[in-house]
Amino acid sequence: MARPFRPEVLVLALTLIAVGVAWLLGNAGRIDLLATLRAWWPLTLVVWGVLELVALALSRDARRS
Amino acid sequence: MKGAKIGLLLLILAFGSTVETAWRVRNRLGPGWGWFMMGGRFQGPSFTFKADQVEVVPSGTPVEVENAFGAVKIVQGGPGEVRIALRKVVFLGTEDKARAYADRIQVQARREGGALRILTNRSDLERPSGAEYEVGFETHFDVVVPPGTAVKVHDEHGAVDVTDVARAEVSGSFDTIRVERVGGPAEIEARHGDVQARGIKGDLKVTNRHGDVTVEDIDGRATLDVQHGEVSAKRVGGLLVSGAHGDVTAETVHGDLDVHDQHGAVRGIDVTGRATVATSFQGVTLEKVGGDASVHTEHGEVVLTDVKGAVDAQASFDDVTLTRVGGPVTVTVSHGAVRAHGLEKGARVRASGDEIVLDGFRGPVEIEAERAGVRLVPAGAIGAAVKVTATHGAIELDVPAGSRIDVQASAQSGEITTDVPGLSATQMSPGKLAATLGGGGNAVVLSTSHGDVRLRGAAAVAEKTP
Repeated sequence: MARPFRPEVLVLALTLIAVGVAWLLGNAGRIDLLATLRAWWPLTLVVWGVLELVALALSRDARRS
Repeated sequence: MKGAKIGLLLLILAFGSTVETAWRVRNRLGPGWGWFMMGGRFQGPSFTFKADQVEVVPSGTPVEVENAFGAVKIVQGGPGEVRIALRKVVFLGTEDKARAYADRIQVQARREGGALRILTNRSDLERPSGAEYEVGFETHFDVVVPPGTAVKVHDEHGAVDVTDVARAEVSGSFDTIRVERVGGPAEIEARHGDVQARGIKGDLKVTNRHGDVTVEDIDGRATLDVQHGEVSAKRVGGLLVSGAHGDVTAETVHGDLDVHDQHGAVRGIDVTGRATVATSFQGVTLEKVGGDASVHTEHGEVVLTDVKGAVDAQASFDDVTLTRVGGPVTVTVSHGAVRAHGLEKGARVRASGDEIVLDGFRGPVEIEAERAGVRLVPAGAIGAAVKVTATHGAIELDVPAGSRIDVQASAQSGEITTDVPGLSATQMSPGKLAATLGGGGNAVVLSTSHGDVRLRGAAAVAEKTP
C-alpha cells in the first residue's frame, strides 16, 4: 500500500533546502542573506497551503477510485 | 490537525518572527555599541577598495586626521607633500553594490587654520536618507607626512599608529594607540584600548580608561591617568601616575616617582629622585631610590630597599620591610611587623600586632609598640638616644662594646635581665633598672608592660650573630 502524501514533510524539506541555499549565497557574497530571508520567508506558508490543497484533491481522487 | 502540522507551523512562524525582528533591529539601531554587540552592519561579506591622494603642503604644516570605524597610521615621508591612502571596507552582500557604495566614500582634505585636516564624508553618508538600511563601512587611513610634522589624530573605534613626527596629540577608543619616536611632547587620550608610547623627546601625557599603558624612553616627564588598567614605565624623566584598579611598574625613573593608585600593586626600581606612593589593598616595592621615599598603603606590605634619603612608610594589615636606608625613617604600621636592616640615621616606629626588628641601625631610635615584641641590634656602639615603649611585648637590645649609655628600664609584669660587661646599676628594684655604661651620655629608655626587658652584651651578641 502506497504511503499517503504528507505536505508538511515536503514543506520542511523544501524550506531546509531554500534556507541552506540562501545561506550559502549569502556567505559567498552573492545576496544579502537577511534581506532575502525577510522578503521570501512567507512563501513557505503559501507553498504549504498549495501542497495541502493538492493533498486534499489527491485524497478525494483516491476515495472515488 | 495533526501534531506534526502544528509543530511545523509554529516552527515556520518562529523562524519568520526571528527574521523580522533581526531586520527591524538592523534598521533601527544606529552606529555605536548596538551594532558591535550584535554584529550589525559590520558583519557579513565585505569588499575592500582603495583610494590615494596627494596634498602639497608648505614646510611645517600641521596635519590633523579625523576618522571613525577604522585605523589611522601616520609615518614620516618626504618633504613638501602629504600622501593619503584610504582603504575602504564596505559591508554589503555583493561586490557591485559595495563598489557603488565605496565610490561615494570620499577623502576630504581641507586647509583650516594653517593645518591640513583630513577626514572622510562619513557624516554625510550616515545621515538618514530613506535608504533601505545603513551600510556598514570602515575607513582606514595610511598617511605619510613630511619630516617634522605636528600631528593631531582623533579616531573612534580604530587603532592609531603614529611614528616619527614632531609632536603628537592623539585621541581614540576601542583599539590600541601606539605613538613612537616623537620629537616633542605627546598627549594621548584613550578609552577601552591599550596605549603604547615610546621614544618621546618631550613630556608625555596619557589619559586612559579600561586599558593598559606602556611607556618607554620618555625624555620628559610622563603624566599618566589610568583607570582600570596596568601601567608599565621604563626609562622616563619623571613619572606621575594616578589611577585605580591596576598595578604600576616603573623602572629607571630619571626624576621623581609619584603614584596615587587604588587597588593596585606598585613596584618602582631605580628612581633617581623622590618617590611618593599611595595605594591600597596591594603592596608597594621600591628599590634604589635616590631621594626620599614616602609610601602609604592600606592592607598591603611595604618593601623598600636601598633608599638614600628619608623614608616615611605607613601601612596596615601587612608588614614593612626596610633594607639599607640612608636617611631618617618614620614608620607607622597597624597589625603588621616592621623589619629593618641597615638604617643609617635612626628610626621612629609606631607599630602594633607583630614584631619590630631593627637590625644594624645607627642614630636615634624611638619605638612605640602595641602587642608586639621589639628587638634592636645596633650597627655599632650606641651613639644616640634609644627609646622603646611597648605593651604586651618583650624588648631586647644588643649593646655593642664602646657604647656610652644611661639606661632606664622598666618591665611591669616582667623581668629585666642584663649580661652587658661593664654595665653598672645605679638603681635596681623589681621591674626597674637604672644603669650606666661607658660613662653614659646617650639615654636608653626601655619600658614595657606585660613583657621582659633584656640587655645583651657584646659577647652574647657574638655568640648569636657571628
